[in-house]
Amino acid sequence: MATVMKNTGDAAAAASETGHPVLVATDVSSGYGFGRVLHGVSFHVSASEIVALIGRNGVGKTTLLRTIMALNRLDGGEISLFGLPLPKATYAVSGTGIAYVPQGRDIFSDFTVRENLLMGAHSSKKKEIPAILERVLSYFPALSSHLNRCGGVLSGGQQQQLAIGRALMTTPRLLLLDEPTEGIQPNIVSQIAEILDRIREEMKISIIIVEQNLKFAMRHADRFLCMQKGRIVVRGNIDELTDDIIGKYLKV
Amino acid sequence: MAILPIQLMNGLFAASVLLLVSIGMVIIFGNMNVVNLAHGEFIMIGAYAVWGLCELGLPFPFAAIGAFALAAMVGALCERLVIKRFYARLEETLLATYAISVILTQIARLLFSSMKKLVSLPVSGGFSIGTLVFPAYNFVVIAVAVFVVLFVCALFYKTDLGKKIRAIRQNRQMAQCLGINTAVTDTISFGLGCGLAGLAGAIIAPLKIVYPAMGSAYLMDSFSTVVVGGVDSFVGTAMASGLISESTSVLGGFINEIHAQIIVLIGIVLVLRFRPNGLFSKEKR
Repeated sequence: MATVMKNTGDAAAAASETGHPVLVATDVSSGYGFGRVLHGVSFHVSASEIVALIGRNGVGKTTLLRTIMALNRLDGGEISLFGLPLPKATYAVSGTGIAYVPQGRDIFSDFTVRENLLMGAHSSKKKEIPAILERVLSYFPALSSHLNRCGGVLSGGQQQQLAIGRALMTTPRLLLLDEPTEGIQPNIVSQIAEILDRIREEMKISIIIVEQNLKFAMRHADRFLCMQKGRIVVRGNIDELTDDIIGKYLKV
Repeated sequence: MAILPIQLMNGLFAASVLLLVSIGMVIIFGNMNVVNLAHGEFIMIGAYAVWGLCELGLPFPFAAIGAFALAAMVGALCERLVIKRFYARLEETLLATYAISVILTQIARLLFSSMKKLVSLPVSGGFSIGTLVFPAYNFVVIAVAVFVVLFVCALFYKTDLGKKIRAIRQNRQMAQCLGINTAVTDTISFGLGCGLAGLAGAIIAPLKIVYPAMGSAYLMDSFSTVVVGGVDSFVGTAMASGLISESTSVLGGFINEIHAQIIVLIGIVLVLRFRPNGLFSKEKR
């Protein structure tokens, strides 16, 4: 049954959730400058689990992902991966096995597709890179024929695939996806959905996905976390995401 | 028309000097987006370093390498202590680099006084092309400029470090998210840019007089060359150096040199009017 959260005490509810946690966030507070956006957010993500982070615009979903990546300062609380606190520097967070695909993709537009992908594997051993590249390209065969094209001239859908592929090149254990279906044509959205299911199964990756496309979230996520005003207000299994919750917390 | 080959060769030599003094700025201004008003002072550091090391008896090529290393170290130190706090803050960077420029000039005055120093030409004699004789050192300068451009292009386009620097230029946060330690890479980039300015100072030292304020003469030339070429383009900067220097030299052979410079400057303004990103910048989607 979906748990409706009070403004305080999220941590206790988070602790009661089942599964072996990959990531645990406890009472996380964060924001921009002096403005506080997240207020005591607590949740966990289990192994090979897809968690949908949903809510209206401006409730703190992207800020939460950015705080995990240490792009925003952690003002309070703790975030740990496999029981170890995350480092404070973004580059070091990446080294722990978390990959981030931001809203808007942020591919390196002057780099070729190959260079973009290889940039994801820059810290891998040289010997391992061809195998990693081959595996990532097996998920995104459309990119194989564009390896020498400049990333900046790809379509939006191809850029999204490239951004996810580049993140997978880091061989992550947790993938953070911010609005992966935004502005993408439906057939590419279906392809991305299939790929997410495959990488979850084959690479045993956990995924946190920020998504406005509720159909997409409901089809592929295992659980949802619904945010409002910088707090998680409802959480539960994805089949517990009812019209009432959608009407109350998601409809504008 | 007998003057034309002489002017073309002189233009090529001037282009090589301009390229040498500008290439470090492509890294610092073009790739790191820092307007370094102390660029000329790193040229000065290189010139003093080569003078000092030659005075100690070191052969000129080793002294030039030492000049590169010293300027790179001072640059890296400035980046660590000052510049890193001002990335993406143009006004503050201008003030900070201007302060560094003043401090470095005054330190040079304190250490060496305002007395001008001379560095001997490491290569004497000349080469004949037909009936024309050109100083041999001019060809050394041209060769060094070609080598530096090839070296920097190889570094930026073929090595992991260069690709990291280019990735940071395009998207700093995303580069961090992929595990690139941007702080270390920034220090190396800034040091490299300053080191190349120091190398330029070492190469031009035998042609000029070495004194504390010598670098300021190159600052505007470097900026205009880099901007005309396309701020992040090494090849563009090389082409712009050639275009500006050859135009000035050839025109200067037929009309007054001052008038030639004025015409070239008007040309630069027109170029920037119609191609504000420079002649050789890439169109982006």
